[in-house]
Amino acid sequence: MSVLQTSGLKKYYGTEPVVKAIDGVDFTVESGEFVSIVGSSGSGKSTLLHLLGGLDRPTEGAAWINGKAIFSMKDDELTIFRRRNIGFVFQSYNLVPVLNVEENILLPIALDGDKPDAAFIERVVETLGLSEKRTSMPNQLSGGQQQRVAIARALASKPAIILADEPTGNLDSKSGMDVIGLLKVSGEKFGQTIVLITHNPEIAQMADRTVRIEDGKIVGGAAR
Amino acid sequence: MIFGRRRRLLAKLDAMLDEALAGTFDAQNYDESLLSKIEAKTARFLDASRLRREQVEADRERVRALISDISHQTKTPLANVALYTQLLTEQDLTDGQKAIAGQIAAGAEKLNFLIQSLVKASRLESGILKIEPKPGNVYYLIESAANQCAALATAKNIALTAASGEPVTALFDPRWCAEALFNLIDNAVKYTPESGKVDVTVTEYEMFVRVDVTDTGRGIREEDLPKVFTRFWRAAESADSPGAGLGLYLAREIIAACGGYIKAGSEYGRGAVFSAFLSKV
Repeated sequence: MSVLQTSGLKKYYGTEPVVKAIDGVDFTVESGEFVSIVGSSGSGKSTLLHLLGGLDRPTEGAAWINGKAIFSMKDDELTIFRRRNIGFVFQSYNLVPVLNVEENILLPIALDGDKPDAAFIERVVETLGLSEKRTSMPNQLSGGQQQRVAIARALASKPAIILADEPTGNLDSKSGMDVIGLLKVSGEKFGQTIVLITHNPEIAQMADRTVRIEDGKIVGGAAR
Repeated sequence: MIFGRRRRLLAKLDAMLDEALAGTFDAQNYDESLLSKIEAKTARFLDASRLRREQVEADRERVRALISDISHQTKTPLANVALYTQLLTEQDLTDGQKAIAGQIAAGAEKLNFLIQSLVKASRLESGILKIEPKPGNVYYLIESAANQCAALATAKNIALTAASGEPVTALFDPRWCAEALFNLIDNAVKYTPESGKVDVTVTEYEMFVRVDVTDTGRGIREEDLPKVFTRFWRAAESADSPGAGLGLYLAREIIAACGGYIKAGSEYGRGAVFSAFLSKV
């Protein structure tokens, strides 16, 4: 079953000359897959991720998440849809500084006015090695630990898909491997579909499938 | 008034769905209300899902039986082929006949290895084999895996060095992970030319213990890197070497079942590094 699908996705900027950031991308992600999108800086990979996550609207084309055409939705519908169906992990951890680790993890669920699944959250926190950090504040944590909180937060609401944009960009290579490893391991453990964007081939290679993007176009990929 | 009632109803429905998700749902109201009707239908729907799950479980049971039949029923005929080939080679044979008998023996051995690996793989996949990770010393794991490769390494004059030191603890299933690591080291020794080097080293991370198996073989092409852990995949150059293309696949499945992961890195022509990351929590 495909969780994410795009058809003829295009994002152009400016008029003369037109910058074709994304130029006709057809792309499918199956349920439970861990896919990496690899490309150099300026290849259009971050633009693509923003489109996939409904953070930006395309010039042309469509994208479906769990069969729902996201660009047909109004902005406020899309915001709620995003909160319930897409987990984001960015290069900057985007934790709320005045909330502790546990409160940060539960925030998206609280925003939805929902009750957290305590047993599930417990497993997520444990898998990410945060059991002893529950009451710590973000500024007491290392970069790798903060990113692990961000991953836990993304997993907590059991989204249809997690989109990770250079999640190791601010980390040294050791913490980076830790973070990517946990993303991979927890994705497998919780059956979570993940799309990872990176410029680092070593990190990209850890996905089940790698898609290469250049000049806004998909130029190659290897099947699992 | 009306709004209050409506909110209560919606809250009740929300609670029902929470129960359904948690698997604790039970129809409570039996009356002429719409809510009671919804409860009854929900219970029916959940029953149907449960039946489907049981069906899947029954299918898995059949696969389990089939795998055990295959491995059991092929054992004797395969052993016979090997035995009678052996007896045949002890007869007075011409060189041509000996060569043919040798081919039969090699084929039987390959088939045996293939069936063993396939049975292991499907047992792992179908969850029939329980892998139980427990805290243990990684150096001990490395030692037991490296020891099994020592003979082949010596025969090829390959310097096989395995790291040792103060105990480093990670979660692994000793028997299965020794096999996974053995597959990595055996692979490295197999694809490293004579007088080469294979090193097994350990690096400790915050969340994982990394075990690297580094060789001085020909390495892996970049485009092949994502494929090396696929079932039955073999590099075009390796077609003549023994193997079925299941070792790395099995290694990956085993390490993943222990909460870790595995990756490969290589610069073509300059050897390869296979890294197993074992979870610490």
